[in-house]
This record gives sequence, C-alpha cells and structure tokens, in this order.
Amino acid sequence: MAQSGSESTRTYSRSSTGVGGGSTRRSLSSMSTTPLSLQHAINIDGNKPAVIIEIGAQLTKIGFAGEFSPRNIIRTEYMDEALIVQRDLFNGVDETKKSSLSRLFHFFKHIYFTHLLTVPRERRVVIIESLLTPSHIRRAITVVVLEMLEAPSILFAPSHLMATFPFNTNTALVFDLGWTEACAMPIAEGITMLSQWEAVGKGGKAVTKRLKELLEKDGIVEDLDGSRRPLSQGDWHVIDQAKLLEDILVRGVFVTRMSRADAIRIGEKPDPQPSEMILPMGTEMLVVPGHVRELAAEVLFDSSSEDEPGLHEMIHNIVARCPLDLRKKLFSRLLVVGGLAHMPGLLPRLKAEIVRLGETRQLKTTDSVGFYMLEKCRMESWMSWLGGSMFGCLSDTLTHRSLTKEDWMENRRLSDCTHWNDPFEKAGLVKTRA
Amino acid sequence: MAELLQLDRILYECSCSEWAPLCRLFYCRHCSILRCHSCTANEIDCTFCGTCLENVAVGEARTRKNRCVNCYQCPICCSTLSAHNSGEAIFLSCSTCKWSTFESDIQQQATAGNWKILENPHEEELSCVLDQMKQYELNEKAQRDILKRRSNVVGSRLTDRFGLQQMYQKRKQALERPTWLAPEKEPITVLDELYDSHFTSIVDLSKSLSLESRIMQPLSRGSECRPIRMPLKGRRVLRCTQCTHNLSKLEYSPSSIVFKIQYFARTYVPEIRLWQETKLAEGGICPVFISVVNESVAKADVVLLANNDDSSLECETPVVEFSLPPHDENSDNLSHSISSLTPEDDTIILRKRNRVGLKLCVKVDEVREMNILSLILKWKNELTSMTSDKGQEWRETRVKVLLGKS
Repeated sequence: MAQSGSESTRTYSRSSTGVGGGSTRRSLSSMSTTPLSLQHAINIDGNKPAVIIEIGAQLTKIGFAGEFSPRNIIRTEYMDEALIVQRDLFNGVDETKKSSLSRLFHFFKHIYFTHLLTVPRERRVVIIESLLTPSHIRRAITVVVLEMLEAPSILFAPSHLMATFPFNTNTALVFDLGWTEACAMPIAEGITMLSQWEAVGKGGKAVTKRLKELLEKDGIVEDLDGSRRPLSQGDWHVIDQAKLLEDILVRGVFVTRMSRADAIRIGEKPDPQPSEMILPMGTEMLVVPGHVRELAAEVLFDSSSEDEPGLHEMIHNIVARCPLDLRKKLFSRLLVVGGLAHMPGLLPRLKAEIVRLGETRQLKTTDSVGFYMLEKCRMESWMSWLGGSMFGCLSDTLTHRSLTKEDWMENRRLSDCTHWNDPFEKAGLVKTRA
Repeated sequence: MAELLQLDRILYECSCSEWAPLCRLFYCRHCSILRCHSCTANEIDCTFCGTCLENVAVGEARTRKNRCVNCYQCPICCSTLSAHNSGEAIFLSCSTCKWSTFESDIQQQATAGNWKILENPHEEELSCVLDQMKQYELNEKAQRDILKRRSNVVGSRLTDRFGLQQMYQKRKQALERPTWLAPEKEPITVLDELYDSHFTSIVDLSKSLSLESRIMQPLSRGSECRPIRMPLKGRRVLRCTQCTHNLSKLEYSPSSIVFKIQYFARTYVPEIRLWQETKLAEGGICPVFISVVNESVAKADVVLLANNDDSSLECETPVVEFSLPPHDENSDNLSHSISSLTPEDDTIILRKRNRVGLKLCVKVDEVREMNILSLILKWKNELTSMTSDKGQEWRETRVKVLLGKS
C-alpha cells in the first residue's frame, strides 16, 4: 500500500507547468483572433466533458466534468449476466492477464452503459485516486480504460489535492476517512507534501467491526409480542444479508462528547443514556442498545498502540513533522472528507481531542483548530469527486496532463505522481522544465 | 435435472480466448468467428425511459442529465411512484412502501411532471471558484506559449495593419496574474457540540435515510427526500470489432423487442448439452451422455474430437462424425417421435430430428473438485459465412464440459 509515499520526498505540484507529455508544437488556437475568453469555451478536443470516476472501497462516484454533483453514486460492484453480484474488483488483477481484468472491465462497462449512457471512445477519463493506490491497480485501470474500452486518454488525479479545490484554498490538512483506512495528507501552497502522509486502518470497516463485537455482547432481539432475548449466533445470517450493520452505522452510530467518552473509559455510565435503536430483522426486531451506538465510533480515538494511533494523534504527528511556520496554519485548516465524515459529532470531538492533546504537549499551535466545510450541504463523501469534476473542466490542463491511448500503446509507461517527470525525461520525450 | 442446464456447465472458447456459454456468444458471419461481450464494441443507439417507454433523443437526454421528467422513483425503495389527484393538486405516492410527497418539502403541485429535484446550494460559490481556476489555467497556458516563442516577440513593433496589435495585447493580458480572485473559503472554528437531545431522542427510521437512499440523492442532508427522476436506460448495439458489422440491434422503437439484426452464436454453432449427470468413478471408464443440437436453418456437419492434452480426464472416444438436419420452426415441438431409437453404433445412440444423443467414454484417473472434459468441436454449415463458397469450410472451437464431482 505504501509503495509511493515514503520512498520519495518529491512533491506533486498543483501547477500544471512542466508536467506531462504535451507536444511542443505551437497550437493553432494561439494564432487565431478569437477572444481568449471565447477560445476557452470551445473545447478543442471534441467538446465533450470528461468522465470523472472515483472508485472507493465501498462506493464509486461517477459523473461528468463541470457538474457540481455526481450523476450517480453506486456500490463498487456489479451484477453479472448470471445475476451474481461481483465484488472485489481489484482482487488479483494483473495487467498482463486479460482474464484477471474481466471483473474490472465489466464494472467499467456497467458504469458507462448503465449509468452514464455514453460511449467510452468519446470522452477523456479522469480517475480520482488516493496517492497510495498500488501501481499494479493503476496499471490495471489504465489497461481497461485505454486498451479494452478504447477511451482517448486517462488522467489520475490525487484525491487529497482534489478535495481542496472546492474551498479555493491551497493549504489544508486533508483527512480522508474512508472505508478501509483513514489517510491524512498535508497540502501546502498547492503542493501535496507526500513525505508527511499518514494512514491507519481506522475507517468504516473498523467501526463496523467494533459495532459487531458490541452487538455480539449486548444485542437484543425483540419478538412481535414484545418479549426480548439476547442476540444469538444464528441471527447473524439475517443481519449480514440485510446489511443491518451498515444501516446502524449510517443511521444510529454517533461520536459522543469527549467528557462522556472519558467517563465511559473509567467505567462510569454518564447520564443521560442514549436511546436504543430498533430496526426490523426478518420477522423480528433488532434492538441496538444505546451504549452500542455511542461506543462503536470510539475505535477512531483509541490510542492503544503506536501502530494504531487515534485520529487526533495522527494529525498531531503529521503537523509535528511539518515546518514550524506551517503548523498553526494546518491545525486551523483541517479538511475531513470521506464517508465517515458524515457521522454526527465527529468534528467537534476531533477538535476537542486535538486541543486537549495540544494542551498536554503545551503547544500554542492548537489555539484555533478549524475545519473547512460547506455548511449548507454536507458533501464530504464526494468532495474529492467534486474537486475532480472542477479540475476536469480545465480542458487545456487535461490535454497536457493526460496519458493518451497512443502514448500508452507505444511506451506502456504510466507516470507515478511521485516522479511524474522522470520516466518521460529520461526517454527524451519531454523537454525539461524551463 | 436443472443442474444439467446450468449455463456454466458447457463453455465455448471465443475468438478472444475467453470462455463463455454458447447463449452469451455471438457469431460474426462476416469474419466467421465467435465473439463474446468482451470483444465486441458497444454503442448506445437509443435512450429511453424504462417506465413510460418514451424515446428520448440523445441531445435531450444530455440536457436532462439522463433522467426522465415524467416518471419518478421512490427515494426509499426505488419503486415507481404513481400520481394521485387530491382535489386541485397532484401528489405522488409509492404503492410499495407507502412513501408519499407529503413527507417531503414539496407536498403537492399543479402538474404531474416536473417535480423539483434537490440542487446544490453552493453552486454559485463553486462556479466562482471554477471561473478562477479557468483564469489560472489561461495564465499558465500563456506562460507556456511565451516560452516557446521567446525569440520572435515582435508584436510591439508591428503596426496594427492585420489586427496583430490587438492579438498581442490580448496575449499580454493573459500573461498577467488574474487580478480578480474568488474569495477563499474560511475554515469554521466554532462547532456545536453534540447535544444530549441528539442521542436521547428515538431513532426514527423514517426521518434518517439509509445509505441506499443517501447515495441516490447525493445532495440530501440526511433526512430530506424528494421524488427522484427515473434514470433513463440505454439500448446497446453490439458490433464486431474487426469488421464493424452489427451483431445485435433492436428495432427503433423502445417498446419493440424484435431484433433487426441478430447474430447469436446459438443459431450458427451446434449446441452441446449435458443429457445425464455423469457418475465418475476413479480408475474406471465412465460413460458421458451429451446431446448435440443444430438450431440453424441449414444442415450442419459436425465432428467432435477428443482434446486430451490439457484435460484431467481422458476421452476414449477419439472422433464422432455425424450430420444434423436443419431446425424446422414449423415442426411440432411437442411430438415425442424419435427418428431412430436403435443405436447406430456405440457412440451415437439416439437421433431425434435436429438432435443427436451421444455416449462418450471417459477414462478417469483421479476425481477432482472440477472435472473438465475438453473437446474440439468442428462444424460445417453453409450459413457460417456471408459468401457461399466459404460456407463450405470447416469451423472449429474448443469446448469445456464440466462434469459432476463423483
């Protein structure tokens, strides 16, 4: 997972100068007398907005460049012709073996022909991905998109950087709370500080796991006549099938206040107790006790071992490694994105924990902890997509930075975000930066 | 018995070396090869609403964001909403989960169509930022351009005879950093703590949406629902990637299910089916019963060869040759008359119109989890090519038969 981060301290710059394999020919459009503003409106390459896709571990966001909400958010799965739901799209993918790519290929086809209703050949593709995506997965996606679907070009855009675009900011500490992991990455002056990333396996999956453990202990089943019995092993089949854990996570789980969490940690039961949540489970009802709702998300702030720090500690660790004059700025510009960011109470709790840790370490930098937010509508779960959609609008940048099908077929070289220039420069394909 | 008809029991090898059941393969008569879904080019020839079957033109579908404006989906259970008249106004309700527009912020309206959908409240702000990003891009582009032709900056010396001066000025203008800037979003430092009332109140499942409902309306704030416009469907046309001829195409009207063009492999390639479940016993020779059917309207000559190279089982019947009469649509399918009951030889044990029953002998060395019998199917059918002379050539493909366990 961590192949790209630590080995290189090179930065990935937001500026588009000197990047990509653009041709050095003078473009025709620069000779025309069309007013510049209008020139921009006419997209040179076929004037169809690019397709923007963000493939998450659970949810995939798809849509077109320039739109301020995704056309569809779908689960990262598809139903094949035998009506079997196929998951684990990236399991065992190998670009050299076509058969290993078939699931990914069908998933992309599903995106294009069921949801976007457009032909892949007509539009450029922008894939929003985490910088920590393994190379073989990026290469597999490239093979599928450029070779099998014959899209004209592909561009991999780093998700953390994209998430800052809607806020028109160039400095932020972006914290992506996804399904499998929580991954934080500082961005300063538009530069992703790749050497400072930190990731920990605390995401939706970890909270769900904790939720399951708590339910196994304290879950209650209520019969139609109101009689109650403890949850038994046999009930889990129904719970898994109906995706009830996911439902509880989305609707019932909340992040409690710090004072309450402290009390619970020393064994007290703070008043008032949270109410229980009752939801249908087959012919019976599943009763989720209040404390289960309250405690499940505590896994995010547990700091039992060094390998698994709490979210607040991660942020402190990252900031401590950054230059002095950036520290205060980063603390005051936190940007939490990803599905878990919707959880009620998460941000105030995160803030309180950060401030307290700052006080114990006697830091002055945590005086003004602040979060970037679009208050009127919570769009955290697709903020990176939104930024990608805005970025995908920049047709000239897209032309310059995308890997075209022809280039790929010729060189089969895919630039990594960490050394974007190197492979091309070595091959003498691109003039070095002026 | 139904086990025998499972699609993955008999797989044919496509020309792109993928394996698929015959019913999912296509046969390109122009190239005379099998094609599967992976090696055909897809196109969308018409977009339509699956509920009202209205054909929506491509341009119109694009402006409507691939949604139908007349049909609506329930935001809770995805069923189709039906319109009801309550005196002077119209409301929508779901007959499955009983959700109705009375639970949303727009309860009723005068017309059945054009219900408002959720819009991004930050749209203005975001487009402001986008404009600025575009300005930066122009600026970068201008800088890049000037680097390329630094040697011949002559614009300032030219008279404005050809409008060059104007062009030059514009270029110069683009080089300057944009002066107008969209406001930078301010981080929020004051956050409300979670109130007691948030978690002591009863979790009302009808107020808080499930993940499914949330992802259907990305702009919802977790509790608000509006009727969702029905997503349009696209009808696919399949083309052969090599000769670009159509392999499957429906008639123009979305309500019609008649094919205009259809090249399904089943109508050109003899179909192999399992006839009886095979009982595999280790070390012995076991009979495998299969039937071969010709669904084509022309006579087919068939040769089945054993392909023991890559198979875990050894087929003791090396070659079977026979020919099958064409499929006759007018014949009475219900009649059980069997043309020849008496076995012709050890292998061909039954003939019934365009179908033969075969008994192959298989030597089993070791019974495994997956016991695959590999065969090579050769067939000759005058319809397999567009030109009649090439139709007399033998075609060939590999077939995998998945036998039972033991």
